Amino acid sequence: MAPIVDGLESRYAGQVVVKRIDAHADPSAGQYGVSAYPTYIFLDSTGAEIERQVGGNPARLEAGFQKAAAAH
Amino acid sequence: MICPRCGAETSEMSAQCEWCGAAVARPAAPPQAGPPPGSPGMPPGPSPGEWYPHQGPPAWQGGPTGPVARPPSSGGGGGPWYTRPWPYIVAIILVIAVIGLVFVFARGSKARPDMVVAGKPTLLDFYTNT
Repeated sequence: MAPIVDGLESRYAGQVVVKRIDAHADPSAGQYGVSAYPTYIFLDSTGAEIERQVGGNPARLEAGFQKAAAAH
Repeated sequence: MICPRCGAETSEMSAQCEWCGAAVARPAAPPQAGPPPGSPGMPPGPSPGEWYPHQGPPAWQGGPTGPVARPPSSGGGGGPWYTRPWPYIVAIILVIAVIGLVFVFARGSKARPDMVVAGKPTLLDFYTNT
């Protein structure tokens, strides 16, 4: 999924920022209740959760990018 | 009473003298104190000495006293509160408002502005290397 995320990041550059978090090294995975990987959590500009996706689904991931960009 | 003819004392209940047989006039009933006829207060009842059939239970038994006139309600519409729609509408609105507040508060409490990069919508990509 990493190449797909990289491509979407380039496409939505300036609108959506991607923050990669190593779940084993960062405690924020536990704070968000993440238990399966990969997990994608879209936040709006205030930090509120917009959407959460568990598992790799390119189409859903792109839809999440669109939703997050619209929430800007 | 005293017989006007023979001066003997006669019975109160007798119309004639028990000694000489003369008619004895009973004195007129003294006027009773109380409200004049037609005045509010005691309803017109039987004259003294009369009796009338008892109607209903005695007052000390607390029997039904008949319909009681209710004071006019100031709210209008009549009837108790639970027969009107407004209390239910207000209750529903309050419940919706409380649920909305809880939802907004829960969402706001989950907000993590420290995770936002450059003040823009951010995707948190949780991954593992294993």
